[in-house]
Amino acid sequence: MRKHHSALGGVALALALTLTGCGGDTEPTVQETPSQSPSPTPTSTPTPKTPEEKAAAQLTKYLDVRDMAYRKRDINFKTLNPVATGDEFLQLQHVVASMTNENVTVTGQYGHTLAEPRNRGASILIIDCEDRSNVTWKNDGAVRKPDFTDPNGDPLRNPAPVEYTLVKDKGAWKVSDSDLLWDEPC
Amino acid sequence: MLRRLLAFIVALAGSLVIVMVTASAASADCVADPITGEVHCEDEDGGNNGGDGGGDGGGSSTCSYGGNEIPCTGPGGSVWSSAHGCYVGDVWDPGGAGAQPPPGQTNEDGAWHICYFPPPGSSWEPMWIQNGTVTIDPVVLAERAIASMDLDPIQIGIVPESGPNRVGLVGLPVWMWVDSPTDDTFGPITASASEGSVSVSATASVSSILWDMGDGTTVTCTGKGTPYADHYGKKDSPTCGHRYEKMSTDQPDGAYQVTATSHWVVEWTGGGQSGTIEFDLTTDSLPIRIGEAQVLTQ
Repeated sequence: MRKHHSALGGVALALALTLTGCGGDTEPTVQETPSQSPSPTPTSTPTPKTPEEKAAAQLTKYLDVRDMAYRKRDINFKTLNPVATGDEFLQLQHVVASMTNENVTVTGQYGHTLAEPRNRGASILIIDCEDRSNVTWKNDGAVRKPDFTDPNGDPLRNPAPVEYTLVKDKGAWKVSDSDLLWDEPC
Repeated sequence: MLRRLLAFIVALAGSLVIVMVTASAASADCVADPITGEVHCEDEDGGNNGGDGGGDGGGSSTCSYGGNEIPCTGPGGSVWSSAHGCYVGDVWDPGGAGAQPPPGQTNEDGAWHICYFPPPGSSWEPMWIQNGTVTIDPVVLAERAIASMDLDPIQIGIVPESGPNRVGLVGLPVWMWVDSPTDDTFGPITASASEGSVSVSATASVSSILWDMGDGTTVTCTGKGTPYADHYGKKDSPTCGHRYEKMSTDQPDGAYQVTATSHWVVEWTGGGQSGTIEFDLTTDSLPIRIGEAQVLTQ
């Protein structure tokens, strides 16, 4: 489901950027530092190599963008374009627009735990275990309780698994669809 | 005829619902409404079953954007507008105070609407939509135009013929064709529908016919086939034929049940959009008896 996910890694990144004055929706400035050293210094974050790793990294980025869009009720297309396409791209607009139109707000940080990607060839499926313990949804300023209800009318379990579909678009894996697996545990 | 038409209309209505629902649910099985918090699930395959013998519904429609095909309906039941380059959704009215119209316009002329942009997007802003420019989904009008065509399955032409005293032979050619084709059984046929300022024209044609020969094989023919005449003798049909390899005596009623499913393709245009709708119409089954020469001559 496309309403509520974001990555813990993304939260840490957002906090780090905020502390360094680079928060919000602004893109972090890339500073290219010429090096005289013949051997590059290894970094602690390995570059994704396999399609599955690349897809997972893209999903993490997308969840960051999406969660930011929820909180700000605005979309930074510059950051959304590289990571989303298809229905997901449209649905995020729909959600954010509806939130604005109906005065629905989101505060707090989602937690995300990605499962092992499943490569289907033309697409890669990744289930995110989404934890919304620290997230509050409000309608017209009033906390919505329960925040979400399943098709049976019961409070939606937390955490809840969300299955994302990523497809290759212009050489990059992008999130194209999502499905809330409301009746399955994480 | 009437039953088939009703089945077809029901199938079309079903397909329209599918389009709208999948657009709303973005083809995902389950999504949560951000406003109500309710989780809604849709069957991706549901509802796309056809009529009861008369029609086998289903359909899809696509619009074009940047040279690519895109669905004509977007999230929240929004409608693609090529004039605006976005899916036009609900009226944009945050806070309920009513947004001011742009210079030179009044609230009588139109309204601000939410616009959903296909990827890659570049902006996030409501769009002023003048009244009448986006009033009804052209797909709806296309469906209406199709319903008015009163389409039917083909009439089966086949040799050996069907009948209690008619028996074909194993290994001999079977000829299949569209008997007495008409506009409403094979096309092309054109019809239009309009509402308000939006008008849609649709042209329907049969692109192929799938012949289910009843013996576990199917034959796809792209044309009407060639009607058999005695002077052809034991020649194969040059366009659409088959040969049975076994007698039909072990079949129910001692006959193979043959059906023909015509695949209709409807090209429509109007309302600043264009698209394609496809569906199938299937005949009732026709019993064809097949025997062997040595059995028949004994």
